[in-house]
Amino acid sequence: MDFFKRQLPTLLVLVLGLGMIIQYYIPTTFSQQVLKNVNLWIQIIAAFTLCIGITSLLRTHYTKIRLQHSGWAYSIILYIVFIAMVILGFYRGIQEGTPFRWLFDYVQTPLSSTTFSLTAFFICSAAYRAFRARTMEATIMLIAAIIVMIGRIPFGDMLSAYLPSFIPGFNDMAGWIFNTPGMAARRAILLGISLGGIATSLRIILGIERSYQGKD
Amino acid sequence: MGIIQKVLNVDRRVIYLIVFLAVAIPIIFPLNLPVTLTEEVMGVYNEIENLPEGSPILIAVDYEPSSSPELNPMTRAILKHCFKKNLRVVTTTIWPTDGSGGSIADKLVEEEARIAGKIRGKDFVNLGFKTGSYAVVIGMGEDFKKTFPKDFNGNVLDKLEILNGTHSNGNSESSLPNAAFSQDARAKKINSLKDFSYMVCIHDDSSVFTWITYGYERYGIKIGTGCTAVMAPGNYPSLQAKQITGIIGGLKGASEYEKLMNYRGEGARGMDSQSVIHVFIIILIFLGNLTYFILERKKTVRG
Repeated sequence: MDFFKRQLPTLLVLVLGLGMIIQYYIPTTFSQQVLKNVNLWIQIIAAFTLCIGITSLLRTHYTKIRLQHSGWAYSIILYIVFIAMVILGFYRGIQEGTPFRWLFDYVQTPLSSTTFSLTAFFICSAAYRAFRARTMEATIMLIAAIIVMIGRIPFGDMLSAYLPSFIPGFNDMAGWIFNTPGMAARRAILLGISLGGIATSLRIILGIERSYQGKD
Repeated sequence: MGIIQKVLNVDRRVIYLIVFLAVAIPIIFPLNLPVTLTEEVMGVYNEIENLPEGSPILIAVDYEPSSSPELNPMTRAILKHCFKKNLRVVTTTIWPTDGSGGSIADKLVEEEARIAGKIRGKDFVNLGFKTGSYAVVIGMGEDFKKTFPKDFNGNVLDKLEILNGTHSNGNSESSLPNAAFSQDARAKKINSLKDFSYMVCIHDDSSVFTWITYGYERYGIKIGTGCTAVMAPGNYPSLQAKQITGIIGGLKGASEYEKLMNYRGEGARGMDSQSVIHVFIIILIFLGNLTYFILERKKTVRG
């Protein structure tokens, strides 16, 4: 059994991982065909991962209902809505004019938008209570935030008209923050993530990192 | 409790009430604030504007319903632009949360097409959602119709006029100045991502990087992005590296695009509210810090 749980998956990952790297650098007709087929497999496997995600979600909420954890009633609602949407989707389709689409347009979309919009209230409250210039770093961040907030609205342009000519407008200052320090930080993060991704991929391909195989 | 302390401990419900009014009043009574154009938005607009009539354009609607108030205005503006230019519009999503398989895209493109008098399958098509993220992008690059054999409504893609290069704007004479150069564009069949003249990825998460990594780098499709305001800074490195041609960031970007299209829509109206809220937040930050430092100073003086 250890062969199927440990050695076979490691071997598959090694062969497919190295194979796809080689494929990328040798774009012959054969390798293009291999890419097409592998890509098709990935799409099929991805569809199955959706099933795993749904199973996991339903299991989590089933446990919550069974053990009557706090908020378990919401889990019942999740089950009802989930089953209703699946039945409606399969029975009548998801196109315009179907009950599924009606629920999506007039229930899910407004509810999701409303929930997301509530963050505006919390941001304002948090800005008032927590955004303090206590340290040098906090002060720099606060000034940058204010410049960006003014620079991204029409009031910024109106205010900029009153600034002396040697001071750039708020829009330009906000642009500079985005394009210079902001982008430098973002690029550093991206490079870090990419290098980390390459290192992790190599560890997985070479069988050093095996956490994806589970504990037992 | 002194007045400073009272101001500092103001009930959060008071703040919530002011936020509500600051959002609602400008929507009811528009301020019609001026909108200034930025290079980032022009980068997307100019690309679409310069496309010959009949060119195929891909629009990825990669966002979920929660972001639709912020992103729908720009999607609408872009669709208006594409239909005005008589482009062949193909919409899709690789983002699973775009309301069950491309419903957001379908609703928007259907509504805008109705206004512009365009026909589904001839002038536009919604492919819907397919799971697999980057695998779908690679699949579209390798064999478009194999990856999406049917559209959102179950029509066989191979039979649709829009993909087979026989699109026509319905008029024998085109009103567009570059129509003379558009015969090749109209005749172009869509078999791969490479066949699209341009694409716009409208996203509220990281899907644009999938399109850049596989769509642009592998198949050379030119990309412009539209995104929520919080996602915009993350797109700037790609803009500087010329992997994307422009960024339409949040309601600000949407309002700019609406201005370019000569109308004031949801983007411009939303920008009025957003402007007032930004000013309100700045006032709150200023007040919060002022009261904090006064109290700190008092503590220091008392020893």
